[in-house]
Amino acid sequence: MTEKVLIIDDEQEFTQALAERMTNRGMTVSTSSSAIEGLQSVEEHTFDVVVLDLQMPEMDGIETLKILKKKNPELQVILLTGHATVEKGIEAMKLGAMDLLEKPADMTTLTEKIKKAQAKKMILVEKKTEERIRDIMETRGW
Amino acid sequence: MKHTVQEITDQYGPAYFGRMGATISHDIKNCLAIMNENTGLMSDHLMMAQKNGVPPDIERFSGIVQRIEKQIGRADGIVKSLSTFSHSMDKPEQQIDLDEAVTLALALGARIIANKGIKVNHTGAAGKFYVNGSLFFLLSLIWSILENATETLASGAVLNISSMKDEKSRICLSFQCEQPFVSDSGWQTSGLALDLFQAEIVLDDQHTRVDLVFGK
Repeated sequence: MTEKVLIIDDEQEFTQALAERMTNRGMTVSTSSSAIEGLQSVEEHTFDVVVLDLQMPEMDGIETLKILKKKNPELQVILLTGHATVEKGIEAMKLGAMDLLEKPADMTTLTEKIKKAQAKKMILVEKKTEERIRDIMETRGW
Repeated sequence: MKHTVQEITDQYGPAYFGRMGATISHDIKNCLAIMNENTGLMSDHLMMAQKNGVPPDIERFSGIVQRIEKQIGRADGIVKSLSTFSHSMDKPEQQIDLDEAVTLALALGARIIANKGIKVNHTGAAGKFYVNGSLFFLLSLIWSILENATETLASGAVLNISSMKDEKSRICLSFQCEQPFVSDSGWQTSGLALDLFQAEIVLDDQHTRVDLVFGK
């Protein structure tokens, strides 16, 4: 099953090239050049993974991550940053990011992380669906 | 009490140097990331061409090469600013072109200002205005005013910076915005550097303008 990925980064030449490379590897990729645009895209479409830049104008990656996870807890987020500090990494993990990679990222590593993220999302969605079915079975008097 | 350049360097130098170093390294990393993805893309196209037994698409290659060249130029500009900044501590006193110093201070902190969503317009004087002192401390002084000035500004605000001579023919660097953006507090850290340049900070009543006036 093809991975549905959204890249959010204000460096448009970066997102374009990365998106093309991911598409070459069989993924379905969308891009957003700001956090606001990215959040809107997540409202309108379904994604398995969001690849998110940590430092962006208007709203940074940590703030965006908080909103993304609040609205869609199953969505997997991989943070990309030009300057990864240990503190930011820990903060991101605590907020539910799946991973934090430093730019420039290695494509093989990023691809592996995206595949793992998609698998994790599928497990979470399945678990949630099972819970909902169980809940329906228990509450409805069939 | 008059402070020496060394005392002020020890007190404020590392913080400013560290802050600028972090933002510049981030900018360089972004350039490298774009170059990395574009060279990767070339590699992908070569592999696909080889696999399919067709020659690579020259037009696409040309576009990718142009993107890489653009990033090399961008990174070169960033490293030039970094180099000038790194050498700004070489001389404790020198003649400094004020507008060149503003341009450098803005280039160094461009990402921090952009992240706040604030647009800065710098209008240089028709002639050249020179001030004497340490370039490093002039940069840190300009930056501390910029940081204080942009602290309370909302995203989308425009800050205008211009150099001029005031009514007393003193060289002046003016920071102006349509909305109030400055408070009376928060300028203490600039105090020592102001002494070095025999300069003062003047706030207007509406709090929409702050002037850095040299030769008090």
